[in-house]
Amino acid sequence: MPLKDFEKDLLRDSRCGYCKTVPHLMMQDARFVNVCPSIARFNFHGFSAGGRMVAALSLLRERIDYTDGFLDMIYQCQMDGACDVSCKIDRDLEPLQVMQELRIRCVEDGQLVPAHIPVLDSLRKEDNTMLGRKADRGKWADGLDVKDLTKQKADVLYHAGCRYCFDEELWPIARAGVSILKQAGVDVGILGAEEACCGGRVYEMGYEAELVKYADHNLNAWKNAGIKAVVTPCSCGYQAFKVLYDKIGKKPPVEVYHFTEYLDRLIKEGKLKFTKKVPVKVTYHDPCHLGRLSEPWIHWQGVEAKAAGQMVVHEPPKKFRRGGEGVYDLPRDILKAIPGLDLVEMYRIREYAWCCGAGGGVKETYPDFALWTAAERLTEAREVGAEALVSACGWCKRNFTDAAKQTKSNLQVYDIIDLVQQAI
Amino acid sequence: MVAENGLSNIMGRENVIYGDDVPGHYSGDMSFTAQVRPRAVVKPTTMEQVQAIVKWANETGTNLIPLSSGPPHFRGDTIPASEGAVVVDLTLMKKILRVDRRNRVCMVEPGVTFGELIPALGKEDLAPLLTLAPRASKSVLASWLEREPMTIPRFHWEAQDPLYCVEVIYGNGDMFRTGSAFGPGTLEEQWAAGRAQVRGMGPSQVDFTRLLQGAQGTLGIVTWGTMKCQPLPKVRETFLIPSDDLEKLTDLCRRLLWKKLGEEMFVVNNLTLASLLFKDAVRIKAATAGLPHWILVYSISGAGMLPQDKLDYQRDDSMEEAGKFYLRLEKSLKDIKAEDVEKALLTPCAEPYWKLRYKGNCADILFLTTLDKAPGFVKQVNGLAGKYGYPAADIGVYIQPLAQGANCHVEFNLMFNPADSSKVERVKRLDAEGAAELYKEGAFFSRPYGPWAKFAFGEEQTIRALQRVKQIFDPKGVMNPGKLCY
Amino acid sequence: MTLSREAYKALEDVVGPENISEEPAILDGYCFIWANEVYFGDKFSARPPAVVMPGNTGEVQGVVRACNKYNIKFRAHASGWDVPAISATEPFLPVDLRRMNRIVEIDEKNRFAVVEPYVSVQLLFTEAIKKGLRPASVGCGPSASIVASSTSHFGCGTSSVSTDYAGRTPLGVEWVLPDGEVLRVGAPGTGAGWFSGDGPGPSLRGIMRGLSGANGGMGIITKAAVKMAPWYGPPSIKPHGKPNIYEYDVPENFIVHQLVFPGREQMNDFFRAIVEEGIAHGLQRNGVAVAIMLVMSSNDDFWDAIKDSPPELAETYKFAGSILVDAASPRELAYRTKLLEAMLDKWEIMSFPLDDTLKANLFYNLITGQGTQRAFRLSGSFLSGGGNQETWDAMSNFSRLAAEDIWAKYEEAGKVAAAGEAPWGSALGDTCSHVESIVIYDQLDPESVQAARDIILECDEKMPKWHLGMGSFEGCLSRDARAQKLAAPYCLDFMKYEKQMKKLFDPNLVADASWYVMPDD
Repeated sequence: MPLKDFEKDLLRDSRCGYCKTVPHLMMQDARFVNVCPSIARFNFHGFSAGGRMVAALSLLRERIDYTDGFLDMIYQCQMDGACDVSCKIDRDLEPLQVMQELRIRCVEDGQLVPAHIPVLDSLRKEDNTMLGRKADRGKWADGLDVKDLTKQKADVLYHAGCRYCFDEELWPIARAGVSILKQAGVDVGILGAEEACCGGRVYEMGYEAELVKYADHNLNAWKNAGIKAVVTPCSCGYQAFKVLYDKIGKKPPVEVYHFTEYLDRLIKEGKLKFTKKVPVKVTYHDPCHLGRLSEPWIHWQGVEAKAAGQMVVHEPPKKFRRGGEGVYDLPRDILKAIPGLDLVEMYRIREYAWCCGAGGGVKETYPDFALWTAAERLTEAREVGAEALVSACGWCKRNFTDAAKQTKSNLQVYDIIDLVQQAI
Repeated sequence: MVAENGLSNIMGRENVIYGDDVPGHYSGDMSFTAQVRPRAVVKPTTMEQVQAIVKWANETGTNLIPLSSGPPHFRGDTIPASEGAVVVDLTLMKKILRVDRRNRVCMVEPGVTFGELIPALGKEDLAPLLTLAPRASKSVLASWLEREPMTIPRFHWEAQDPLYCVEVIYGNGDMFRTGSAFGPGTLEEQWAAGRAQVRGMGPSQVDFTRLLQGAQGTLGIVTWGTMKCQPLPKVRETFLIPSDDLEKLTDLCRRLLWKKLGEEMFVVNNLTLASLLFKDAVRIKAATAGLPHWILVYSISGAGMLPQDKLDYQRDDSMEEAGKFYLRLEKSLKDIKAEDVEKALLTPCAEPYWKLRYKGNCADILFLTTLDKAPGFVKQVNGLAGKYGYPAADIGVYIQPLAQGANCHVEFNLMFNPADSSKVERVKRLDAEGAAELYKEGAFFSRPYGPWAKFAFGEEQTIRALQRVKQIFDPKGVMNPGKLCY
Repeated sequence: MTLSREAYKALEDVVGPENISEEPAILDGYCFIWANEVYFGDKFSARPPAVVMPGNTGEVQGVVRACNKYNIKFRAHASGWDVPAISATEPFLPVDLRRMNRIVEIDEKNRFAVVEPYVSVQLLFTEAIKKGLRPASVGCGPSASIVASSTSHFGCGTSSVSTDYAGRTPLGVEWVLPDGEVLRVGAPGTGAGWFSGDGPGPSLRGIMRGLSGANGGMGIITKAAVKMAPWYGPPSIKPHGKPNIYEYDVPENFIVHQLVFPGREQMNDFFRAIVEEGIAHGLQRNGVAVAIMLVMSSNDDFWDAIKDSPPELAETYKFAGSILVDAASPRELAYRTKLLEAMLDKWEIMSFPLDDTLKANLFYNLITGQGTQRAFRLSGSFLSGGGNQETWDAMSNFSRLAAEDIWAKYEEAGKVAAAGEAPWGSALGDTCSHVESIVIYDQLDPESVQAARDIILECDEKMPKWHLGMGSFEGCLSRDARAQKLAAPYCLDFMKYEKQMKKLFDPNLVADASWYVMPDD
């Protein structure tokens, strides 16, 4: 939906500033009430969702033009959606969608952020956003006894994702994921070098055409592979497959699972048991793309109408995605089931979790800001007494690990797969 | 002479007292303020007369000293600072203009005393909020204009209480009404619309009532005021909670206030309680010796739909809270009965005024602080008493929680024999220099009478700001000059 | 308008390059706010020349001094959550106080907090309830600044019946005057602490604000101590469930009711009596529909719930309000329960049946005022057409006259949402009541916007004639002193004193006074 179609939302923004913090009713500690990393770091109102809604209106009205400062304002944002959740406690507006369309509009208008160019180049030439060679994409699985879905059939595709494929330090997690599935008797295979990017990350940067292209590509590849389900340890990929593809009218005809969802199923079916103690005090970080952003897309076609004089209603009635239907409980249930593990919660969790800092192209474009965001989270983890921070996304793992190193934090950073592997 | 004619034209010759005919109590009071006889005294009975007097003062460059209470005065604020001033005595303005039970408000002229107001409100099922045993001649309106402490903290939400709106003649001769009384409409029109001048803030973006409070008559002359009243209690009980440990009592006060229990609540020392109850020095001394050092005077009452139910639960809850501090709610302390204390609380003080009973005179050091700091100031004052050679045993102490517990009024009554010149000198020094020492330790002299005005204003910016206020409302500086910082 | 390079450099030297911006995309965020279209005819009011963000009192002082030197109009805001925070006809320099966000101290023993301007009501509430205390809530909701609501703008809320009106809660204050000097009002000016804001001598709080504050027209408040009320609830309130309708555990020592009164007289009598009894923690005059709106996920759900209501219900529910009673002990709870029942019985008041969700959300709204944002959801925007503070009877009179004489014709024409009396009201401590009548308009509909404008003007014109008060919250929401001027023929002239204050305290007239007064107004 082009930016112009959101003009009513722009005009109805009230500048309440709710997008800057966790929902007020969720505030528990004065030190941890910010929920938008962008405005928390840069402070000017323009760096909030509300501020970008105003800027979008300004752009539509030709009150402003593109400048470096304006582009920074747009792109120094992880597109994590926390603002959207906070806003929608009380309003029926779409701040995240507006920010998405604003980025798409930037790209359409030829306003390219220099740091995006190598990422797009890599994607277009090598089918990944990690500046790696396509041919090397499957290296993470070398020596792993797993079906090659370009040659064999399996029920389940394990899609590692760009981050896991090209970040060698994270390969053990990707590999462990396969091992766990196999141990549980899952008929699983991978696409190896033929796996391609989900397109989600660059979509968040504003590259809509790439999302369409990779949606078509992936759906085709899956069809050829004859799979029934896709399982991925990458939350970004999960959200792209489940939500973004549906958004653009290309809902996958197969089941899409995040690794934790599939794991939960295996545990409940008795195919996986935790037998070893993992004595560590952890806190769980909700990845944005597994949590609030993975809420199923709601398609709506209709018109706005008025009732009781001036009350805004819709025909047909419109449902809003408010972040409550993401995957929050399953990872926690898994952690709680691990013997010896002590789970404590941070102040900003679930649909109002603080972002790891990596999303929306920020890791690529504003690495200092990405690390600043992650460092804030590490502080919060420490404050609740955790010895370790565990997440369920390769991007979270990478960014937290980098931040822990930079800040010389002795907080351990895990992916949930790490702990599950230790427990089985 | 021309000036005098102007005054006579306004008041009528027979209503102006000049020169040697001016009674002594206008020239000096019970404080150490230097005696200065005013040129004349006038006693207006209407706002129009007051306004005419103020305009005359501006034309003739005459200083005006307003007062609303009868003698004896104690603060020095009603004594001219220089020769040639005219005292505007408002004690004849005694109308209780309106009593509104539904909105718990009354409107009174400045000459109305507590003794006059209590029965008038009683007829309407209301009672005024009171200061501690005010003298019979004390003006109700002046008490609240001076931000005197009231004895019931739960009705004292903040410093302005219980005052709402006032009608004032400013030093420039303008008549103004503050708060919601400013309009729209005349008072009668406002009443017809259901309004009752119960909102003291404003009008609009200035708080005019608040600017007049604490001004010691230096900005204008108030000709009526509306104030909050309490519903007349149908049942009540008073208790005395004794302790030799002041901190326990102030802690208990804080706890009771947090639970919103109680009505009258304040701490006095044995000398003050004895002075409130007995009229002569001998009995005061004997009673003091028999009392514990500190007494929390505490009342509960019920006035609404279920008064006895309220009384009963408050009594039980209060006893429970006191028990946590190992304190007890007593109905008597030896020969001192709580019901006698209650009588003293609910009526103006009988003659002689309680502060004068023990020694004949009394100088008060009074300031604001917080309840947790009050005991520290008591210790400091005892130390200062020693330093200046003044017997600590002759100091009455009164600690009144205010702003529902956010701060408190602390008052030291330095009782002394005015005929004993050595004692007078010591009290004088304690009053001036000792107060300055207290100020350095964080005592907030929000009402800077007499010598305290030299140090109480703190920063230069405060003085400049107040001078600007003075410039607005009394540009020619006719109103009670030499009292504050301008 | 742009700043001279010298002026920009001077400001940059004060706050640092990261904390000043001339970027148009950023500046437009400082001239856009709800209701701009009503007051200025467009969503955007005058674009500022730059925006600065000082981090402490010294930097605020430096900014103000630079503004005096270079003749730059400035105005501070904290949350920026009202038209007087953001908007003006002529450009001014917004001083965004976001970086000044500390709770300096909470004095648990003496029940006050010292805060910087960006500390919100909810932030302080979150920390204060851990210590058995709570600040005043305000009608515009939990994101509002404590300092702004208590010292500089307005300040009534659902909790005002127990916390007092926010404008009566300031104790000591630190204030950068328009000339750049720092004034510490009350005890802080003498080094005694923060516990009192009145004195020495006349209270300078009187210059700072009256019923409403100066809306930035008299400088910048950089710190304030505010008195807090006791809180008998849990040290934290943890909602559960899913967005956007959460559940709360209503503590056992709190009683929640949505009341429906048989008539206006009974409503007035009850509100007056409940204040006199002194048992309410939260109180609000609100319609039953407003309560239901709190538990409806969207306007569509809300409309679905109410669209088939028989028309006569609107009349039945015309006089309604919600109340929260708390208790500090089991005995007090028993007494208050009995008393409340007796009061409901006396005036034949119906307690609207509440399921757990509605009860919980009413509870939360009465504590925090969270529900205000939902009013924005209805049509996209709303305004208070007129309101004032005096007796319950007078204010009830106002809402009746406003509905009959002003609102009705716009509602019938469909230009504003039909809402009957559409009042919002509360009690202010134990003194008076506040009521306002709400205009629910669509900022996308020019006729609706014009209706909002016309309603406000009618209120400004008629309230004085009815002798019920001055419009636009007695000038607080009055641009260029229009309401004050319309009321002037019926009132004593207070503006002349305000103008003199403005002139004396702001000799260079650099503190933007679009929502205050100017000496030549």
